[in-house]
Amino acid sequence: MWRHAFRPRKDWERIVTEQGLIFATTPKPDGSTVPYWNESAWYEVTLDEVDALEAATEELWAMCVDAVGHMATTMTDERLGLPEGTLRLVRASIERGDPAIYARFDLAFGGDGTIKMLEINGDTPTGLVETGVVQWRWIDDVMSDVDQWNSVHDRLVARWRELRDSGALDGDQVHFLYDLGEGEAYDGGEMEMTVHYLMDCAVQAGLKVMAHPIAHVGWNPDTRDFRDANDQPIRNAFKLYPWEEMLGEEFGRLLIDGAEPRPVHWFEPAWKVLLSTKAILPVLWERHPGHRLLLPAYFDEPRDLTDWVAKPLHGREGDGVRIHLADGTEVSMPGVYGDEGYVYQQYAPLPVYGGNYVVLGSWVVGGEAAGMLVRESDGMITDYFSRVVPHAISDGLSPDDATVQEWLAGRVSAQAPQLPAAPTASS
Amino acid sequence: MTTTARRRMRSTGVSLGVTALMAAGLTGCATSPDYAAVCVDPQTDERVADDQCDDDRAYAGSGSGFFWYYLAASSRVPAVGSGVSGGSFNGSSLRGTVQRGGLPAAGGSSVKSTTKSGGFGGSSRGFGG
Repeated sequence: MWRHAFRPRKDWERIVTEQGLIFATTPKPDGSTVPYWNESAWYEVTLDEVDALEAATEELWAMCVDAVGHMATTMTDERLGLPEGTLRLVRASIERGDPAIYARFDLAFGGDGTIKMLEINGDTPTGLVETGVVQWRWIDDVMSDVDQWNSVHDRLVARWRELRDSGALDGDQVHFLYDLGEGEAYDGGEMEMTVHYLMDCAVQAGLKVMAHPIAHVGWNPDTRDFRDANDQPIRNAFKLYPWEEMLGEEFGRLLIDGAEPRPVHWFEPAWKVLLSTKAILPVLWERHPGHRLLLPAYFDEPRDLTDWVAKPLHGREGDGVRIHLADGTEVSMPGVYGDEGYVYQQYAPLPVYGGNYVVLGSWVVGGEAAGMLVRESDGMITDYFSRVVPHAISDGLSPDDATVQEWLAGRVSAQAPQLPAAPTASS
Repeated sequence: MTTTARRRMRSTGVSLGVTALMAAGLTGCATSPDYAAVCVDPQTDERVADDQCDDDRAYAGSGSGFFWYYLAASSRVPAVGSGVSGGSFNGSSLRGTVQRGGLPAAGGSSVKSTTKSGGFGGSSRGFGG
């Protein structure tokens, strides 16, 4: 992988904003701004590199699905820092084989070609607009004859269509619920933006949609169902809001108690809560010790690690992360997470290109690797001020439509990983 | 590892938010009424199907036919075929929003929706991933 400086498109800020990326820049505490979308550079990858990343993504995804079954049957809510009753819901969700839509791995892709999984965002990943729309439009504008590892958009539409056609939905209406966030917690519109993009994909798949903040969801005690802002029953809901938060809130009790005669079909499904906790990291290491794609990780203590990263079980956006190196270096990020416990993961130095620390986001849509997004940071922790940068495959030519359709119809792995058979209940 | 690389896709044009808003099929009435009427046979005080009440005549204490019978927001809705009580045949004196018909035939819930919101979303701390 190489980093190249490049001339941004004239008026790039307006272009990407019109394409839906409503925060082209990130405001800093001092009032200045940094680009959030950074097209003053692009990353060059080769077909071989993409093949390796794609295969690694699917292998990791299969390991994560396997780990979910293991965690659901062998672990406790307490160990995972989850509201009491969560695992019972998770087991029911696995038994039903609840379908999922998407997930994003964060990978460290070393200059020597090593690939290490830093974490997985399995429940509420964001960055879809940047990946599926903005970087796709960028390559179309500036180097349309070469390729990009990016079938995110087509796969999202295909996934919604598949859910509709397979009977996984109750009717053809889907509510999109998100965390609006108030005051300090307002994220500048990231949740709304992501949800509206997913709505577009669902509409293109023939579904009827509506969005509003999850705080407007109501519960009707007479009919015992969840209602939308118009007091209409919610049958299918995509929620950009973490399961572990929902279940700890007042209405979470209703879900845990199974209060609905006709439960809402939730996306992501309840089993995804296990891919939203950093507990997946020590579990994967325990099940695949020494695996080339994994970093050593443990619950509660760094054990024999000398360079390690402490991650809050439910942390997001780098909040509450602490890096400790053998030479005495300590880097920590403030954050509200941590009461629920920590995992300790071996520190993997990120590759640095021109002073930028790089993390690759690798997407899984409908159980298949779907594309990547490059993020750059100034420091060792990828945080709120990271930038997204487009990429291109320098030795891959832009495919024709027939080739694209062929790719979409095929698989990278021989077969899709399956959730384990109904786990036997244990508490 | 496969030899066939799977890359960029020619996606259909993506107009963020616009198609979704235009296609939103879930809009509905946002409020529930203060009073709602069921159709009643005054000879038996039994609820009948809404379509039996086809005009605006109010029941004047005598005469035959079916008439609208108004229930306050907090009332339970009687099922079709069961007896009504606690309401009024006189709709003209009601203050507040009134809805004629449209209550569930099976009865059960209150006239005014008892939906309460605010049970999700309280722990917002800004996340993404």
